Amino acid sequence: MTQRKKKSEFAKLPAGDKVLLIIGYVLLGLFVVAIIFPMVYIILASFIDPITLQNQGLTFDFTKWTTTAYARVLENSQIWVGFGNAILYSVLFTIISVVVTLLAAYPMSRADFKGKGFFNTIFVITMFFGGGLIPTYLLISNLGMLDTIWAILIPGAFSVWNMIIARTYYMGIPRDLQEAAEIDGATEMIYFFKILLPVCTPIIATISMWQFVGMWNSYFDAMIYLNSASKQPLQLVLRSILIQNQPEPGMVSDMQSTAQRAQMAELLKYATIIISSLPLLVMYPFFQKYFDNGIMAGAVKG
Amino acid sequence: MRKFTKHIALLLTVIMVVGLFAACGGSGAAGGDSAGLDVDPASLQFPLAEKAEISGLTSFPVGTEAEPNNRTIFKRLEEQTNVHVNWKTIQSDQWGDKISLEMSNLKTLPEFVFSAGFNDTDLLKYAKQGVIINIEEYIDKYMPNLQKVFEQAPEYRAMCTDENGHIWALPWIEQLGYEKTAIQTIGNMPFINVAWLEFLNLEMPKTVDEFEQVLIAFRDNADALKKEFNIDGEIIPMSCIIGAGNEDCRVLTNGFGEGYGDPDDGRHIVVTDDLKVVCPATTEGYRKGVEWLHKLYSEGLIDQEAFTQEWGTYVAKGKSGRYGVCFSWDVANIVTITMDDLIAGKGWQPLPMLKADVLNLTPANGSFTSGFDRGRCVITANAKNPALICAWLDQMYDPMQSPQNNWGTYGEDDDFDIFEMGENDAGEPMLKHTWLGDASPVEVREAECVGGPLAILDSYYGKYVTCPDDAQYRLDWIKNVYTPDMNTKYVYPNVFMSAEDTKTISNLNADIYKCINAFRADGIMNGVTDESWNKLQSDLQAYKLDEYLAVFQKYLDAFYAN
Repeated sequence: MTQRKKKSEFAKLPAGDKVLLIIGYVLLGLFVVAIIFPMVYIILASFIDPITLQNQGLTFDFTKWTTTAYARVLENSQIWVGFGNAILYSVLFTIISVVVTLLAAYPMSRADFKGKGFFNTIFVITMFFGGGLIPTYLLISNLGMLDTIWAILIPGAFSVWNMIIARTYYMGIPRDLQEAAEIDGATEMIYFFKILLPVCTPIIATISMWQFVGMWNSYFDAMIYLNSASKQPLQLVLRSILIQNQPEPGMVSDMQSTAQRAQMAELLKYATIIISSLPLLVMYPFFQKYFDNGIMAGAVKG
Repeated sequence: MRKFTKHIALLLTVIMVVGLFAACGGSGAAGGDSAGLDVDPASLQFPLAEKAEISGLTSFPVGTEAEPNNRTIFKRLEEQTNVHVNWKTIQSDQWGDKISLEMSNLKTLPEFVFSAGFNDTDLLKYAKQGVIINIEEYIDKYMPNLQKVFEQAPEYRAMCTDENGHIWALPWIEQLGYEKTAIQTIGNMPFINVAWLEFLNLEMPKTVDEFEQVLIAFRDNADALKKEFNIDGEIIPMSCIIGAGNEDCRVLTNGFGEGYGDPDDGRHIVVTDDLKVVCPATTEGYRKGVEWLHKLYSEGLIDQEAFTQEWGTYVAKGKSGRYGVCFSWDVANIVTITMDDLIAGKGWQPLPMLKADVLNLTPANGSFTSGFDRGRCVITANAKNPALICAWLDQMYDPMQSPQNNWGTYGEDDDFDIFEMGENDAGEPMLKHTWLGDASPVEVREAECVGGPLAILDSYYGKYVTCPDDAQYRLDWIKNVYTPDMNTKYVYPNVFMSAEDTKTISNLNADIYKCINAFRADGIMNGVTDESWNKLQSDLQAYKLDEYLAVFQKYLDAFYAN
């Protein structure tokens, strides 16, 4: 029944639209294939012995399949420490970041906020210019945050881009809402927390997801600022497993270790990709409904 | 808006002023109250009467002990010297990213960097910034063990000294062989599948033409070989990675023309017997070599993937037994072979040099002095008592200590030991390598060794320490197969260039390197024409090859003037 209805709807369309629709679906289809194919390849490749993979490509001769790569990665106790840290950092970072961003966006959305232009200029400058690696490092060091969790959580917590998105979203909410609340005796605080925020769940979910994924995938800040092995997040641990140590110049034993390790890295490459993206792949569908809504709702004013 | 611009200008000014003060504070702290050279060497006799503390920065391999003081070597050193080191560590895979940050932060920088591994540019940069101090006088006064090393091999002192006579770092010296027998003389060693040779009743080739015939035989008997050796996949008579240091096939063409070859893949320079630096790509032999490789390539004797494959693919094909000839530091990395077979020459053997116009092997540049790292250990401007630090670091150059720092130690409580304490012929104590069985020597070494500045001279083997097994068979190959064919007198030495010359060289090298490698790859694939050859020559002139060679010549002349 539904199928016939769809068919008839399609049939009703003018010829030009039909062609456009078909082209649209073909392009989207290709796009999906371009994303799905590498994913499937990586999943299969992570189970295949690397020598066979290099010589014959993907094979369904199950005697050549192996779970050695997963065993090697999972038996590394650092992985579990890294998993725990990654979750802790991602959750805390998301909370801090969302709170800071939402609070900053609110005054910026209000026409009657004095000094809006000044703050706007200051915020925008940070979008175009960074302090540079070494000065930022010295700053973090002077603040006493080196090798502490704060070095990861604080510096990147305020994202101007997300603030702009949230501000635009606030501005899209009718003024009448606030006026009505004020008539009922709501103060600015009550309006923000009790009335505005509940309407904003899509944008909160969106920003949370972005920040969570961003923190989950990042390794550079953690590498630069954290020194203790017990504080490293998952991505950094996986990176270490993959690249191991760099050979020292001219050291003979390292010539051989490089060779051994290159092989080990080949074996572990795909398994580490799966392990690091699995939690996000599982999480994504739950957030997706907010995610889609959120971007649309924030972008379209009114 | 104008008001806001003013605000920002004010803000920036404040930031800059604060920044200036902060910078002043930083360098002020760096100066410190250093004890300098006034310390009496006699007061630094170990063990010290009173416990002293120094601070150092070092690296540790992933998955090994992170606290250096828990390593047996440092535990013993603390007992011997009564010096406690407060270590700061960086995981070795993150070293490259983090060390420049550490060096920029004088507030937290320890007094010395134990395994710095700085290159010449780094050393001169930190020297100019005043982050590290020059130590030549400390060496003379407080480092008797290092002086002994320099006395036995004076070229190392010259190699450590910059053009102003300063030494900025303590070296790492690991001699495995010396001059023409050094393990570094040939990196891209060619190996031939002798099992296939025997099966096809072929002799070991001695000339380029015989070699070509062998490859043709491999190609034409592919089916028989596949059946006999049960090989999965197509037979590849010869595989290599064009343009990769140790996997490239350029060593085969060493005999063409004047016999210069092109051992220096990065810089493309060789030294003639009358001490002139030349670029081999300007000589007739280079052209002939590329033409010969093109012939092999067009006959289907070279792996079609030679230009594109990466290490992983190269090894995977080798492990499947598909190669007749391949190139590597050690063939055991590429093909499946047991250590016993390898040492006995069963299955695979190093391919001797091939005669074309002449028979010659040009050793790798810098190889005559074997393993050398100029910037291994630096003393920072934060050092309160550089004399004490130098005296402590001098312990690393003790002939019994260096091998332990480099490879590992003896008498630990765990499963493996790199060494056992034995005796040499004269009845003196000697470190003897133990048999590790199936344990990977690299992993055991990493778990025990500490790296850092040290010196192991070729004369130590048999007196203080035995040569490691995994180096010994390669040394034997070089001595027996390749050293007799090294007719070249000199290699380009490892010189310490000034910052300015290093920059000139690296700027000029960028174009020259690209130009030569592009010509070679194109030549092997498509052949060489007069036009392409002439274009290479005119391009090289346009890229100032003469100026490039003149800089190298200047340092070569200075090196041999001493």
